[in-house]
Amino acid sequence: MSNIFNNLFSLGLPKDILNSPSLIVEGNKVIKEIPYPGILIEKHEKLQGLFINITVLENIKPKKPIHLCLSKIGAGSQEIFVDILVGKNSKVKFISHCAFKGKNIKHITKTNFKVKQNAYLDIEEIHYHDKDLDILIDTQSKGVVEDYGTYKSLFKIDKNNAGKVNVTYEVDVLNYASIDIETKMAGRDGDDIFVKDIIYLKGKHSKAISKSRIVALGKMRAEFYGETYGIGDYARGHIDCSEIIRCKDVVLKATPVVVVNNPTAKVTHEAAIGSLDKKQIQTLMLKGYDEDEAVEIIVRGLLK
Amino acid sequence: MLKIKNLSYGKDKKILKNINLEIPKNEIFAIIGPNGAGKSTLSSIIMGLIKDNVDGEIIFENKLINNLEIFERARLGMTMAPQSVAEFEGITVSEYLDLSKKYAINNWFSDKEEVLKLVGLNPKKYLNRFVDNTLSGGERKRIELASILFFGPKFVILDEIDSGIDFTSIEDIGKILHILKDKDATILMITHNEKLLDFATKAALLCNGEIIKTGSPKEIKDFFEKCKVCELEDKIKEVNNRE
Ligand SMILES: Nc1ncnc2c1ncn2[C@@H]1O[C@H](COP(=O)(O)OP(=O)(O)OP(=O)(O)O)[C@@H](O)[C@H]1O
Ligand SMILES: [Mg+2]
Repeated sequence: MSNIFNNLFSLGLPKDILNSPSLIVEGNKVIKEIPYPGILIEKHEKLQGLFINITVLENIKPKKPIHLCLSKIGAGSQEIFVDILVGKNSKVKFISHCAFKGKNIKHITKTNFKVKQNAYLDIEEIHYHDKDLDILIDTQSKGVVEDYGTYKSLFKIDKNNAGKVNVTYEVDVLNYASIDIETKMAGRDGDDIFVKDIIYLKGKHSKAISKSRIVALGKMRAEFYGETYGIGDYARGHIDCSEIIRCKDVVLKATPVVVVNNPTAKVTHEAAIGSLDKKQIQTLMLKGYDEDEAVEIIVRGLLK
Repeated sequence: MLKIKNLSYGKDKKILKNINLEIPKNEIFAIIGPNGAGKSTLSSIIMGLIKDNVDGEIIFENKLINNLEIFERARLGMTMAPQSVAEFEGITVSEYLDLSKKYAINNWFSDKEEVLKLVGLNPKKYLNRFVDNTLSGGERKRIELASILFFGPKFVILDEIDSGIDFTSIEDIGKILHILKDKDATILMITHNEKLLDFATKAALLCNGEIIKTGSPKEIKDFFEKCKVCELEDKIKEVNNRE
């Protein structure tokens, strides 16, 4: 066991996961759990994978984030099915530190979430990839944010090879609810990244921001596809995607699609694909940084 | 400190023609000139942002630096606040100031709040803001000045530092120039604002890619006035000729 943890920490996982409320999963097995009052977690290890049911009772507001770490060391599949229900007036943040090491790894997660009235759910998924990692990542999140609710998510892979990555979000946003979805990724030689955000602004005064940043640091392929539907009265949406090329033989694609069928709704978008701004690089070089250092600083900022 | 010998730039059309300049140590040397005169081009060439199609010599502290990269020049102690400064996503003002420290030449300041106050910004309001497009042009410019104070250069080019900074704050700029001078820095100040000439110790007039005149700031100021009139007369002649 301590061997697994040593592996995880050497990949960059913060040590404080050991003494914070958490659920730590290796492959399809729960290896550690520290409960938090008011958050019920049920686990079922089945043939298809691990099923996790998380229920946050009403009015629960932990001050610190709950850790939900999924990792896989060595070849094989990890398949996780998560159901999250955040009860009325609760406010909770989950941090998923996901660490992977080895060849022929599959990491598949399907998450269903429901954010009840006036509740708040924040999910941050930060990946720690080992140097020679060979991985397929398929992460799908689907959910509803009820009246006055908030959903925030950040998905980030920035170290070493990203792998074959497919990240999908599909969210219904009800009255006065708001969501903020961000994906930040850096890819390298051989990586293939696909990000899809589908947002239905169904409620009146519902709000959504879908933002993605993909930096191609090697020969790779990446695509962002975002659809936001402005359906409810005064719904407001914005898609902001930008992709950055650092070398030749890269295929990047960004498609923001905006569908509005309500005259009071408004959805805007901005999309950009290009190389890093020369002016930014020069500004840092004027402070003594060589080009590689300058690029690293700029990319780190973009993916923060 | 900095010498420029027979510098020309341009492929077919010469944007700079046979420029000769000598900027002694601890001088506040102003170059004034109308839009399109070639002022920013000259700054970019001095700092190595432009290297192709440049003839002539750029000598910094008796060393020919024509072939050095931007960062190599910076590490020798030269830097610049460009006319238009870049924005950075995800980098806070506080982090941005820290970036000046890795290759800093002199450690004049180590307190971020202090430098922000010096450039007229309230540290409480700005330290945690991002150096991105949410800052106004003037705010961004002031932060660049703060970052230069943190870098502590031997030689600094300030290209239109007053652009975007309100007129009432010209004194702020004077204050910063004084700090730089007190710290023994040499300053090349690029401007088309005659008011800034009052802070200079020496000046030159750049017109159409040529240094027309070098002298005391007062001489250059008077000459620039006349020059503007000449320009107007030239334009009138041009229009008359066309008709
Ligand atoms: N990349 C370029 N290609 C062609 N012409 C250029 C280029 N860069 C600058 N120029 C031209 O060179 C001339 C000098 O430009 P420069 O920016 O140096 O002027 P400036 O004196 O700094 O003007 P301003 O006061 O407006 O800042 C201008 O006529 C400009 O149009
Ligand atoms: Mg200029």
